Amino acid sequence: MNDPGLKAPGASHGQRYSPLVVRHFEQPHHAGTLSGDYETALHGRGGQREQGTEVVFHTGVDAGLMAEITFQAFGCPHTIAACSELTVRLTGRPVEALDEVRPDELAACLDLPVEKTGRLLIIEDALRKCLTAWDNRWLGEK
Amino acid sequence: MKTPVYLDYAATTPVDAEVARAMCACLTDADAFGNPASGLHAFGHEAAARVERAREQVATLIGATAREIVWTSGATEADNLAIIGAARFRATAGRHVVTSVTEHRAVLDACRYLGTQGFDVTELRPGANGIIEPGQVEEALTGETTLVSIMHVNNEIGVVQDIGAIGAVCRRHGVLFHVDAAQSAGHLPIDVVAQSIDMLSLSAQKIYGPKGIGALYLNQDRIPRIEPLMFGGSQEHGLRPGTVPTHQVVGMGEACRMVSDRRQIDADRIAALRDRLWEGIGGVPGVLLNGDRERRVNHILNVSITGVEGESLHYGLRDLAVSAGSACTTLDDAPSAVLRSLGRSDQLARASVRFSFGRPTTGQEVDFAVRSLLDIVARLRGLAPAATQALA
Repeated sequence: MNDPGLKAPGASHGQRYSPLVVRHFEQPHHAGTLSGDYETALHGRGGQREQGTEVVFHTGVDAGLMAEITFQAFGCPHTIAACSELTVRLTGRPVEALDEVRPDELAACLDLPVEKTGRLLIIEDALRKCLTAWDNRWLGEK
Repeated sequence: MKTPVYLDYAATTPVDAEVARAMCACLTDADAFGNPASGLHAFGHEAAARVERAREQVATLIGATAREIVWTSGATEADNLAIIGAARFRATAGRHVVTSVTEHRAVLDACRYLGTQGFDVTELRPGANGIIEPGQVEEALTGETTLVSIMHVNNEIGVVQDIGAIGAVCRRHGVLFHVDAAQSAGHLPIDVVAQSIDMLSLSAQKIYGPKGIGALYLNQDRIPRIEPLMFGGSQEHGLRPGTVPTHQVVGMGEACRMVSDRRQIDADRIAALRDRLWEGIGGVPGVLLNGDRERRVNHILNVSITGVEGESLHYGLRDLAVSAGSACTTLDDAPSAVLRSLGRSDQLARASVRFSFGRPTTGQEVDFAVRSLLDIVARLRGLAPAATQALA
């Protein structure tokens, strides 16, 4: 009698994750919080741990450029890889680049299965919160 | 040490070399290839003799007599045959069956099938320790109850049910008692007479025998007849028609003999390995043992881990061949019903790992498992957002 309620985690990993996802999962880039002091620090959170995915982006901005962008994630390997990939892409870019992230392009790059699309929306949500924080950065001073 | 390290012996075991030799002999010996049902010549007689010797070996393991053993393709078929066959045969006496939500799907789905056929099904919920108390069973019985099916050892969390006490309750009320013993046979002593068991399902593949063979014990005094699920021959008293696969049943018989001979040696050694693993990981905050601390079988250890996401945990453990308490590969996959029944959250049910140990398991492998688990848990917790690192 087999155990249909139990799945062997290692059974199909070779097929489940692309080499890029595996690399990011094993050695994520820019994980953690900001390491330096910046003119502006932006933070955006998406998802809920209770729902299985929660990500936070931290962005350090100098002269309108994202001098440092880091992430923290509670999520699957695809989620961790997507966050890691994005921090690589966005570091050094203008803050407005946060609005240029295309989930479909990222999904293709990471070879994301269709059932994981929702994870990218959570990540996009967190990034947009950083952007909103940037757009509203002067409100507190008025 | 070769990786991945196999720690999934509750899923299946390798075939013991001695068992394999006995099976091969059935395939290669010139006088053993006959059909065991061919009663008119020596070839059939030789095959039948080997089949009956195996039947005796299986019966001995559980304190039964050989004539009470019916060959099946495995424990799943045995469960189906017992539950559906007995309920149908005794339908005029009542149409209520009792089981538990933590049963293997082979039992639960068979009972739920009966539910679609006009039977009432009560699924008992265990306490937070995974134990079904005999009093719960007694309370669930009605005048219509004909059958109770409770597993001996849970396949996910390894807790041991008090089948002797539950059997006594059933016997007192004149209700048939079926036990799925796929995870307990060979690991724990079973005495179908002393434990008042009427039907019991067995699997060879959990005890270093071959896959594709199992057996159903039927107490001949209590339930001399059940309805077959298949038709087409008189083998196994018409309960399981089809040519008996001599090499398979000989493998199961030999596995039963060996596991009986080695039980105490294996039990002590495997308990030490299990304890070694728990000593290595149990002290880490947020590593939670699933199931009762004392009433558990030696070869299964199931833990849930706070602060980590299940799929990443399992991927991080890919150098270990272990099982998950649930499948996390798609959003549609539900967390383990067994772990949920213990009160574990969906997240904790997903972030669970079942380790199971066997004869070949070494201390070095267990130490590797400890290191692997601690490494990935620390790494994933380090990645998690600060607000969610709280352990709860």
